[in-house]
Amino acid sequence: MANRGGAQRPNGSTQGKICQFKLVLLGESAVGKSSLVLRFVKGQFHEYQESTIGAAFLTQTVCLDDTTVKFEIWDTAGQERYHSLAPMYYRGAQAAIVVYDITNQDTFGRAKSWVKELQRQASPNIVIALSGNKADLANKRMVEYEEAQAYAEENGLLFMETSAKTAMNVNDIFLAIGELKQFEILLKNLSKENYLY
Amino acid sequence: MSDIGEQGMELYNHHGVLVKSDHVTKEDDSQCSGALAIVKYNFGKCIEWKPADVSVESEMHDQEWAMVNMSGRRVRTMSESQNRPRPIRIELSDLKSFRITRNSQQVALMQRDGTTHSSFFFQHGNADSFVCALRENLKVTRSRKDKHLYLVLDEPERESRVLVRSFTELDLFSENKTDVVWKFVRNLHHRPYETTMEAFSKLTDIWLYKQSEVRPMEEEVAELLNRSLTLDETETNVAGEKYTVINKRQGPPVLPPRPPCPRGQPLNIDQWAHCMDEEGRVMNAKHIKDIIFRGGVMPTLRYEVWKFLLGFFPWESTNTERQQLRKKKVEEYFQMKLQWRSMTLAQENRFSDYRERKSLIEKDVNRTDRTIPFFAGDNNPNLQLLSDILMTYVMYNFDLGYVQGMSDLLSPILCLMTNEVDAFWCFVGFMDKVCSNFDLDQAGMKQQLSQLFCLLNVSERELASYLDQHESGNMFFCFRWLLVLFKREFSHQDIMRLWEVLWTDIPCPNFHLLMCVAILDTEKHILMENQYGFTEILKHINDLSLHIDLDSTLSKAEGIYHQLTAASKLPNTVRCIIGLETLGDVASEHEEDMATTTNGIDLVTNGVERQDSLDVVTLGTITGEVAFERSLNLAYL
Repeated sequence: MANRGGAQRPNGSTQGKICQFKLVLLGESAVGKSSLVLRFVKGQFHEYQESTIGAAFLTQTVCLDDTTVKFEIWDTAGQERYHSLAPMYYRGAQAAIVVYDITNQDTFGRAKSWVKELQRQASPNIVIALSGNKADLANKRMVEYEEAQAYAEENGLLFMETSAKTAMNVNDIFLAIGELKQFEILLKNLSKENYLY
Repeated sequence: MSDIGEQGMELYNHHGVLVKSDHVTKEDDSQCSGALAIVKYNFGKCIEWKPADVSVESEMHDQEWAMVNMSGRRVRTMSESQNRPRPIRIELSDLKSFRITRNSQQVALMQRDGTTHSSFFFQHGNADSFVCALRENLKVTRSRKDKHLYLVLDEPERESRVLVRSFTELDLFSENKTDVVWKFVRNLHHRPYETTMEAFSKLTDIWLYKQSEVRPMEEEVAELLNRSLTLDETETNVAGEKYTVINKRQGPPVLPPRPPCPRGQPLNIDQWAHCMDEEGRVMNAKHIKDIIFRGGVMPTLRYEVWKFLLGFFPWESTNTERQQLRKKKVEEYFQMKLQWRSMTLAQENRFSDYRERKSLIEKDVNRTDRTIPFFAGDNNPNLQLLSDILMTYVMYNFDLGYVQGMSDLLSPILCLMTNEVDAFWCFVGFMDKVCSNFDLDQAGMKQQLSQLFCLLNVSERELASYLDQHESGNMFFCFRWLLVLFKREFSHQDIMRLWEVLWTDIPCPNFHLLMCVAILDTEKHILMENQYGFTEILKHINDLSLHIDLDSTLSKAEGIYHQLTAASKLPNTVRCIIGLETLGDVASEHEEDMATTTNGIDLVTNGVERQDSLDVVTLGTITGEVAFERSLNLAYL
C-alpha cells in the first residue's frame, strides 16, 4: 500500500519526536516537480501529468529512526509568467527542491536562478536540494552529472539525479532533506533555542 | 518505503462501498466496489478501504490489457495500469470531520491537513453503522450549522480547555470551572448585551489594574469572544430585534432569502431552427441565450451554436454571409499558419521570443487532457492539431503568446469542432473574453480575486471574515478556478455545459464569480468548522475537483445573483461587479465601510497581527470611482 505507507511507527511508542517542516518545489515548467511529489506521496507516476495551475499542497509522513517527520509540500506552477506567485510559497519554507530536466540545458540555467533567488530571499537557514530529474532519459542527456554536482558543491546544495518515472532517488532526496532538518532541529534543541514554530 | 507490516484487528467492516478512483479519467465515471473497515493497530486506529477481490480483478485487468494490446491500438503505459483505485488508509488521529449525504449513503472524510476523500458510497444499506463505529472510537459532535457535518474533537474538550485557561488566568469569575465558561457563552447567546458588558467590565478592571500580567491573553480572549459572538450573530435576538454586540457604523447590506432557480432543458433543434428567418439570421438572440443560460445546448447543436456564442459568427448574419465569412477566415488562418510553418531553423535560432513560445506549447500540448479519448494514446494526431492552433495563435497575438492554461481552454473547443479553422476562431473568441487572466503582471487575476472577495463579503459575510482572519482573504485558493474557468474542476461534459452558460453573459457580467461564491457557500461550514487555515483551505478546494455538482451550483449562483439585486444598500463596488448601475450618495456612504471591511470585531481580534504582517496594497480602481484598498496579503500577487 502506497498511501501513507511511509508512516511506519515504532510499535506502541507514542513519545517519539515529531519534526514537521515546509518544503517547496521550484523549477522550470515540465521538469517533473509534480511527478516527484506524486511519486513520493502516493507512489504513482503519470506519463502525461497535467500542468500545475496555481499551486498544490500535499503532505507525507515518514519515520526516520525514532522521529516522525512530516513533510508539508508546496508544489508550484513552473512557467515564468507565474514567477511572481512563488515568494508566497517559499516564504517561510525550511526546505526547497529545485528541479531541472537533465535532457534540457535551459532548465538547468533556470534552476540556478531559482537557487540564487532562494539564497537571496528565502529564510536564511533554508535547506536547498537540487534534483536532476528524468534520469531515465540518460540517452538524451544534455546536462552532465559532474557539471551539476560541481555547481551543487559550490553552492552547498544537496544534489541527486532522480527519476519520478522509475522512482530512482525520489524517496532518497526527500529523506536526505528530512535527515538534515532533523539533525538541525536536534542541534537547535541542544543549544536550548526554542526553534519550534 | 514499506508498508505497515503489522496485522491489525478489525473493529468494523462494511462491504459494498464504492469509491471513485482518485485519478479517474474525466470521461470514465466508474466506481470501484470494496470494503470499508476500521482497523486497530499498535500505533493507532485506521479507517481502511480496500477494493474487493483484488486478485480476481487484477487478473481480469491484465486480460483486458492483453486484449487491448492484441488489437494493437494502444500500448500499456504505467499510468494506465494504475487506473484502478488504490487502497486508502486514514489514521483516525488524522480525521478532522466527516460529512454524510445522499440519504446517509455517501460519506466524505476530511483529514486535518485538508485532504478530502469525498466519495465513499454505501451500496447496501447506509452509512449509519459506520458513523456509529466512528463515534465509538472518536469524540464526535454534529455541526450546528450543517446538519450533515460531523466534527471530530481531537482531544476531549480541547476548545473548552482553552477557554477555561484563558478565563482562569484572567480570573474573571470567582469560580474557575468549565461550566462557568460555558454558562458565559450560553448567556452570551441569550443576553448578549448584558453578558458582554459584564465580561468587559471585568476585562476593563484587569486591563486597568493588572495590565502587565494580562497582556499575552488579550488576543486569545478577543478571539474567543469573537468566535462565540459571530457563531450566532444572526440568531441573536433581543426583544425580537437583530442585535449585534459590537456594532459597525452602518449595517451591512441585508440580503433577502435566496429564491429557488430551477435549471431548464438544453436548447434543442426545433427551438434553434424556429429562431432563424429564411435567410438564416437568428431573430431573437436574447431568447436563445436565455434558453442556453437556463439549460445549455444539446450536444449535437453545439458545433453550430458555439460559433455564435464565441463571436465567430454574428447572430444577425445570414447563411450566405456566414459562408463568405468562413471562407475569409479559412484563408486568414492558413496565412498565419504559414508564417510560422515557413520559419527556417536559422531564423528560429535568432528569434528567442518565438523559440520560447514554441517550447512552452510543446511542453503543454503533450500533457493536456490525455485521459479523454480525443487526445489519448501515444502519437495521437489530434495533439498535432492542438499544437498547430496554439502556434498559430502565437502569430495571431504574439504579445500574449502562449501562457500555461491556454491549452486547457482550447482542448474542449477542439474536441467539439475537430477541425482546426473553426476551433481556432472559436478559441480566439474565448480568449477575447478571458485574455486578462493571462496578463504579464497578473492584473486581471488580481482584480477578479479581489472582486470575488468583495462579493463574498456581501453574500457570505461570516465566511469572508473567517477567510480574512485565516490568511486567505486574498482568495488565492480560487486561482485555478478563475484562470481556466473551472476547466480542472469539472468533467469534460460538464465543462462544455458550464462554459456555454457563462458565454451567454446572462444574468450579469462576472457570473463566474458568483459560481465561486456558490461553491464556497456549499463548502463554508467545512472550511470554518474544521478551522482550516491557508494550506488546508487550498488543499480542500483543490480536492473538490470533479466532485462539484454543476446544476445545483448554477442554480445557487443564480439565486445569489437575485439576492444581490434585491438587497438594500448594496455598495457600488458590488453593483459595478455584477453590472448594476451605481447609485448616488446613500450607497457611497456605505462604500467607505466596504473599503475598510474590518468591522469592530475584526479590529479587536486582529489588531496585533495586522500591524506587523499585513501590508495595505492598492489593488487599483475597480469601480472606476473608488480606489479599493484592502489589508490583504496580496503583496506577492
